[in-house]
Amino acid sequence: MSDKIILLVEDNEDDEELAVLAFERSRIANAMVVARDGQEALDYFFGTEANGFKDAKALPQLVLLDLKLPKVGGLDVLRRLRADPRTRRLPVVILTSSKEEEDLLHGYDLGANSYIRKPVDFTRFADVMQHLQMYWLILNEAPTSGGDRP
Amino acid sequence: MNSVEPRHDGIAERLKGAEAAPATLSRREADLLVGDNEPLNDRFKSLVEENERQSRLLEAIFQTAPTLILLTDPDGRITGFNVACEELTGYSRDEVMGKTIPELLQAPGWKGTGAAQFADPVNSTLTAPHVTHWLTKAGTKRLIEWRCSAVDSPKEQSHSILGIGLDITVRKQAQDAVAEAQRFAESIIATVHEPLLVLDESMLVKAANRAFYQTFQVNPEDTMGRPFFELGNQQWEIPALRQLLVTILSQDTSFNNFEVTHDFTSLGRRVMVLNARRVLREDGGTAMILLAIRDLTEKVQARETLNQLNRELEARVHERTAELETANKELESFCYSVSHDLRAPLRALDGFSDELLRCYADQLDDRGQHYLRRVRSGTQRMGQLIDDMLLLSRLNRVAMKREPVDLTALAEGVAAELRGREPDRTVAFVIEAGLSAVGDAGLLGVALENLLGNAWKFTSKKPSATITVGREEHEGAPAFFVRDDGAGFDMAHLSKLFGAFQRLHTQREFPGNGVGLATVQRVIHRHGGQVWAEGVPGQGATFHFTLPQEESS
Repeated sequence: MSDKIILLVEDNEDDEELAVLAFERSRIANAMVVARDGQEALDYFFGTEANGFKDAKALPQLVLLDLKLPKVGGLDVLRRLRADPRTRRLPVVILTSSKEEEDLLHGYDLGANSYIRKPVDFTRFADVMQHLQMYWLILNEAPTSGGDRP
Repeated sequence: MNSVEPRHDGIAERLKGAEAAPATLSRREADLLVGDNEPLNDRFKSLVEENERQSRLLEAIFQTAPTLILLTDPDGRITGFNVACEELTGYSRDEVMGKTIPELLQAPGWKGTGAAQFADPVNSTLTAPHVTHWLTKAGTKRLIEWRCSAVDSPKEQSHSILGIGLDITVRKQAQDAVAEAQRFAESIIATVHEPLLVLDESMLVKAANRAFYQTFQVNPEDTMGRPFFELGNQQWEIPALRQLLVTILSQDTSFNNFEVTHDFTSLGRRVMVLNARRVLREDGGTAMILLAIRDLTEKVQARETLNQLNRELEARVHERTAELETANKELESFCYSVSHDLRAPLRALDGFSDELLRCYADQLDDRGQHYLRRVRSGTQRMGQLIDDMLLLSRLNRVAMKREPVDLTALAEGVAAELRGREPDRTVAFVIEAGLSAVGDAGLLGVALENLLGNAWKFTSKKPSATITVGREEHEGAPAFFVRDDGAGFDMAHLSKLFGAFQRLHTQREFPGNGVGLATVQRVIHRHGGQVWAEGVPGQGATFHFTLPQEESS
């Protein structure tokens, strides 16, 4: 198993389980961490009073971000990630049900690296997840560390 | 004593009559009378000379005076008729001598008193001026104003009359014309529906018409000669109006449409519009003001009612627009929820069914696996339905561009895509060159995708097919069409053709959601065009649509 971490921000249990299933089907299996709402996702990065900011090594290699989330919405999570120098280069792929053009444009404006709509057909969904891993964790050169440069 | 023959044209002699006999003696007769009494003779001679001089003077006046001078004897016969008379009447003195005025000069039908004065001067006040109507020799009427005197001695019962006359025909005509003009003006003023007033320099009312009395419910007695600004409880005492009227008098200006809103004593609150103009009298005398007053109250009320209605309408439009916007927002958020929330359970259904088929296939018999596949296919179809429904609703919401669109290029693009999808099929596309319209390229692309996609789909059962895209005239306007020689349809089902989620075929015959033609219809309707279809079962279908043309943009 690769030491690279994927953070899945997803509130729907079914979708979470399906994502895990899809990942299991692919050859490359990465550790997957799940945040079940926007606040959990933010806490993961920026910590709480008890739990400080993740060090660079614990940062995920890829964030799969749903948009419609309880507490803090996906776009707000993205905005916070891009506003912080430590996470602003982190690859973030929006993975959502919404095909609304407004969401799409907004996502790109806020600095999403990719925008993918979850297909209903699970076979295709599994394909998509496999491609995502292949591309972002293997082919793509990630920005080294969290990006301490200003 | 009437022994001396009076000179034929001696006016002095005729004036003096018989008693003037000594003055009419010739020098020779005088010499005979006076004899050789030298002093008396001299005095007499000088008297005679003086007398002759006077006679010549009178004669000269008689003949050269531009006024008419006429003499009649006590019987009313003409005994004197000067040059002015001759020139006026066209009669010579010889023609009129001894005739009476009525038999010669009086115009027929003349019933004036003047003729009687000449005919029967005894009973007349001779010095009073009077007018007669003469008929000239040429037959024209002349109006003559006379002043007459009796010239005989007071003791006589009947008189010779001297008449001095002036031809006042022209003057009378002018006066008549002026009077006529005045009557004309007055009748206009009286007839005009607008209240009119004439004011003099002191703002006293000199004239008012019936409309004025009626409108302001006042009597002539309360109005004529009264100061304008005191009329009707000083209801016209408006400083700006006073200023305007004074300015008009002094500077020969006029004003139009001076609007006055005032609580009138008799009428209540009215809106009046005043127009005024200075009128100068022809004799260069005083200036006057013609003031026209129009009651605009009803018009203003109508205008205000209209404005009020417009405001209400506008408010309602705003309200409705806001409601529509709210409804639209609700629809959008509904669509958002649909797209997000409805799809999630579908993904679960499909995903877990797939997992079951994949990892637990050995625990399910063929039938169980078949059911799971049916679950998956139903799930995926529902996902497609949701997507199509969203697309359809988005068609009405997206902003639409209006630009020239090359339909030929769009159709060729769609055709290439269809061929690429099923390269083994034998389908001939015949696409007319130069098809163009004005509209939204994206939306029209969607419409053509559906029309050509349909044609492609419904010809799929044939070994070879032809799909034609072209333009033709329809009721004098250009219309586009997409024609195929495929399955066609029964015209009896035409009404279902363009309805959303309506289908004329089963999924097994031809798969589909029944959204395609509904989408086409929305796109064409949003462009302001029409869409219609013809079909024959087993022979094919033709879809027609109109679009705004470039030249009309």
